[in-house]
Amino acid sequence: MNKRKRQAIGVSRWALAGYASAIAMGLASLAGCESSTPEETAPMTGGSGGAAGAAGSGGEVEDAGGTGGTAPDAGPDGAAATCTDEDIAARDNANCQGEASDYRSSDTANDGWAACISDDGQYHPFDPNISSIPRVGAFVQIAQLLRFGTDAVPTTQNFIDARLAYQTDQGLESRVSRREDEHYPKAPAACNTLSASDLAAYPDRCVGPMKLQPILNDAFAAGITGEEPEKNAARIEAALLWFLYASVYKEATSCATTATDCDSGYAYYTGGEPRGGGLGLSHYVQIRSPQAHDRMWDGLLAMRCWRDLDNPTGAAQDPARQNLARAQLDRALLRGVALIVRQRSEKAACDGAWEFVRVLGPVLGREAALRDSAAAQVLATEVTKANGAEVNVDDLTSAIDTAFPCP
Amino acid sequence: MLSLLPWHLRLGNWAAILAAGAALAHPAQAQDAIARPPSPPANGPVVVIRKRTSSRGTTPGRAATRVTRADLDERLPRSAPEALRYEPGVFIQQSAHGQGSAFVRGRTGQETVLLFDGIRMNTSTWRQGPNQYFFTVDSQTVHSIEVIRGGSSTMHGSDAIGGAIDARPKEPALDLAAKGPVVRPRAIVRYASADHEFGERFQVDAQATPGLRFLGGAGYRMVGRLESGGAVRSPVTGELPQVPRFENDGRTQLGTGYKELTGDGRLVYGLGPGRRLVAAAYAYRQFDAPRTDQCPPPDASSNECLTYDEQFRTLAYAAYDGDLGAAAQSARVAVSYQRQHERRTRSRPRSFVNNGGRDDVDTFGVMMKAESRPVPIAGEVEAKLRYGGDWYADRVRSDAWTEFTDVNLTMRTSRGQYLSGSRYAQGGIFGQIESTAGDWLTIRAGARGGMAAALAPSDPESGTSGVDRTWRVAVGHAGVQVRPLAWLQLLGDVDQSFRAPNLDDLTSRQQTGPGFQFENAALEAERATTLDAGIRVTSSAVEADAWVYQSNVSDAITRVSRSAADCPASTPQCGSSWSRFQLANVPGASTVRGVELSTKAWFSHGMMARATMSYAYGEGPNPQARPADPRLAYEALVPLSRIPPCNGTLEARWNGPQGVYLGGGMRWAAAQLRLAPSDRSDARIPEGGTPGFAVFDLRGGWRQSKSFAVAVVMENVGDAAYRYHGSSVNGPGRGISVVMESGL
Repeated sequence: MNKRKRQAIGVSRWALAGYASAIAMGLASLAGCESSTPEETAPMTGGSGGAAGAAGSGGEVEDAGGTGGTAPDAGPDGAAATCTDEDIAARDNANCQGEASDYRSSDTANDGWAACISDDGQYHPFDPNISSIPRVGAFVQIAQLLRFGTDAVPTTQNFIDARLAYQTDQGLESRVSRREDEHYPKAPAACNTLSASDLAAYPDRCVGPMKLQPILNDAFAAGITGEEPEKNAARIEAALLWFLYASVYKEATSCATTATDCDSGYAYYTGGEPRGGGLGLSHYVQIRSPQAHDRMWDGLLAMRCWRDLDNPTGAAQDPARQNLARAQLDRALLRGVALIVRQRSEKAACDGAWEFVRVLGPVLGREAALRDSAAAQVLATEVTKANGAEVNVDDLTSAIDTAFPCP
Repeated sequence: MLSLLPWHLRLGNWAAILAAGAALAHPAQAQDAIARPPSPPANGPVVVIRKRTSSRGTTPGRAATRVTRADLDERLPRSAPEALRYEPGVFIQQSAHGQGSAFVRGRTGQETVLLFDGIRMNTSTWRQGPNQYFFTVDSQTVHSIEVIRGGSSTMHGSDAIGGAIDARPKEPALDLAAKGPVVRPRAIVRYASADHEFGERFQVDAQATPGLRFLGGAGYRMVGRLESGGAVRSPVTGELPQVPRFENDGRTQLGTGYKELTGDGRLVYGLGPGRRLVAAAYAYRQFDAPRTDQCPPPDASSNECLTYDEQFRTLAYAAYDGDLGAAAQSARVAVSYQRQHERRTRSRPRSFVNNGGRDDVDTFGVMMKAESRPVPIAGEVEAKLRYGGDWYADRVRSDAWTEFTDVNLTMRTSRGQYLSGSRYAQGGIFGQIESTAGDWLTIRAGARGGMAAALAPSDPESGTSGVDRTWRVAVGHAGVQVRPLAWLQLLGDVDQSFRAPNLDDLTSRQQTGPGFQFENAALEAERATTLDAGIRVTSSAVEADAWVYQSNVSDAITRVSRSAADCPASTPQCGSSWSRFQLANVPGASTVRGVELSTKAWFSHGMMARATMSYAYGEGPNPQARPADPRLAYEALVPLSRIPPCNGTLEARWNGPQGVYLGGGMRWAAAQLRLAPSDRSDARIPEGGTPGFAVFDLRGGWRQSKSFAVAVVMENVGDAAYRYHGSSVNGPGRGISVVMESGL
């Protein structure tokens, strides 16, 4: 054995310990380091709202039965007012005639619009597969779980199930988190690409991440931990309706470049249902004002008609026509939302109803300020009151009627 | 995850490793484990001159190439898939920085077979399209990688439609001159600037006696975000694609970076001349690897991310290699166990939601193959038989859960991506006769009888039906090899191959690149017929190969668009997705035809040059039914998904004195504008297609015997913004990669 060979072996003996230990450590670390699958956990409850039911305990809601202190005092006629939507009276306005430029499905020959695909009164989607329909379905599912518009108190499990429905992949959460309100000027880049600090500069435009998402996150979390279940259910209801409202207008805008977005806008309002039916936002509007619902449908048909007439297989090139359709749609939308807020305002003494108004009411402020500054001021003052008992309901409903008289 | 393993952090700096390497370095006798001759030369420095190594594969009569350890040491690929970038007919797609999938003749994933030391890596959960599993082969453990292009189900069973890739591991060195135990430690340090990659590997090559040898190692890598040459725009609209997203510098890609641990041990026990037992284990652990096209997903908030928290693979096997008599002169018998573990989290921090999933596949395998001694038939005609069998059985566990992080709440779902408790088995027996007439004619013919079986429980809560299916398939193969001149060979080959549906096809529900995909439990096996014709030129200075081929797949398992009404019950994410797909057997033939050229030439003064070029054209029946409205445009034949564009490579190298070498490489690809219907909704592909590119690398290095070596690559010298078609990740921008080795 030559000298170098002996050296190699000699050195290797010393080196062996170091390298073998390194390898041993490596192999040992590799042997069993798979993370375990997490076990199901129960929520930490402890709020004051009287919610009950740990995860897995069932999805039954509780009847408030007056125990939650949420029922309003007796009304002027001595009968106990209800906090539910059972007593809604439709509020159509016979004085409303619409704009001369409106598309009218009932009079397509004389409405100033060229003949188009919408003239049979039906919405004809570009693609029968409308991805927003399941999102409205999720809204309906959440509404059933959290008993929107009733006086039942949702349980912790109801909130868990509702949040699961909300967070479904490609579901409501995915669109809430990116929703932009096209009523406001664009941010320098798409909201979903902005950092948290940049987002803060555009709270109105980036309404999804800046306003809706925090409300929904907080309400779901609080509801799951048993805090103020009625109020949190109402916050969720209002925030999701706000999302549907913003989505209809957003899709009517982006439809100029992506024709199938018109379909999404249609479905965000109707849930994909025909004119006589309606899920989600359309159901809310229809029971409060068939007139507003009817005009809303005409707005959707106007949008589809515009796109039918404006290069339906490519990018739209007639922004003036788009603006007409969008304005018609938005007018009806705002009237519908205003009536929802108005009806809940009448139940301001109900904690849940007032919480609803506090979330959805401010949505009307932008347009109200454009139409009637005095009414806008009243609206802004009233809907920011923390306690429904302090609200001047007459002033508030009057302001809403003034600013949003017609669809 | 890696924070649990602080040992590497303490070791993880250049100074310590280089100091260790310098202390351990010893001149002279040390030899590379792979190329080491049985007996080292006499005293004195060894000047290592790279031999004229062929790039052809060792699979007889087939279009095959081989990447050697020396190639890897000079090209410095980031991963095993990337090691194949210079092979003809191979195109590497990356859905993530920590993933890579080789397209062989336009097919990948379930339509190619991956092997490690002849052991099948494919499991029953490999999905349609690219997957990440070849990335789980640690390129530092690899001696060579052979790529067999074209169908090869006769030898390799189900899935071998596009071809087979066999990574062959490093062997412990054999030192016949040693009189006693020999231990040769080695340290390897790697750095790359484009992604701030830093990694180390410690390796021990030990020989107790010439009959008992061991090679083991452990390593790690910390890889940061990958800086590209910039954004790759749509060749049609000039718009930026949604994938990937960048940091504010417009170059560094979000959703990149990962951590990696590896460990391996290989014990070889000699039983006598030409016979040995091998016991080996290879472990790969990857942590925190985001899927780039889902980190963030298109249109989602910047902080949403799908991350593979754990992508593990463990392979252990024992094998006998050697002579089992005249009927099995060259035989291999192996039993194997492989565990594929994957744990992923889709995090939506703004909503305090994490969606988790975990899939484990345990595969037990047994394989045997042998080759008989040649038997004289008549005159100079003789024949030999290759035969064998294999059987691999999978057991699957799959979980999924949702976490609400703000209330510390976790809920399990009724099923995971797959159905827990599912089982799958596939295998068969094969035989091939090879008859030769002198050295001018060789004829081969063979057949396989194969079977696959799937068993999956039902899950009523999610509306999932159970599966209990069996497929029996017989395929064959024939080839001819003529050598009319000493330097010229003509080759022809016809091959039947197949792919039986696997558990991913039959049971999985998942968001894929093009959209939501749901299961089809009624799938049948797809079958392929491949025709190959090739010319080989071989001389002392040149080797050149030219191949043309056509591969027809009948009953191809293809993604077919579905309506929301087709979505399975209790799967709202299906209807909510912009696109929905289900795998279905498409009637008619899906065809890929193409040309592959490669040539390698050696010149005087240590110069070498190599060039490759590949072109594939894929077309198949439109998976969508003809619309009822005749005014709507409809094409009966459409491009196949993610067929690579025309592409190629060029390399040159100069071997200088004293172990110095210099060289360079160029990779290029034309634009790919032919898109399948599903490609058009795939955010990984810019609108209208992927633009072409040309990327230049410079290489240099110095090997001072075997005790110290340094290799440097300046990659993407022109700082081109480029992307391999179908990838989520743009290629690295201008940067430098360095590997230093020190050892005995």
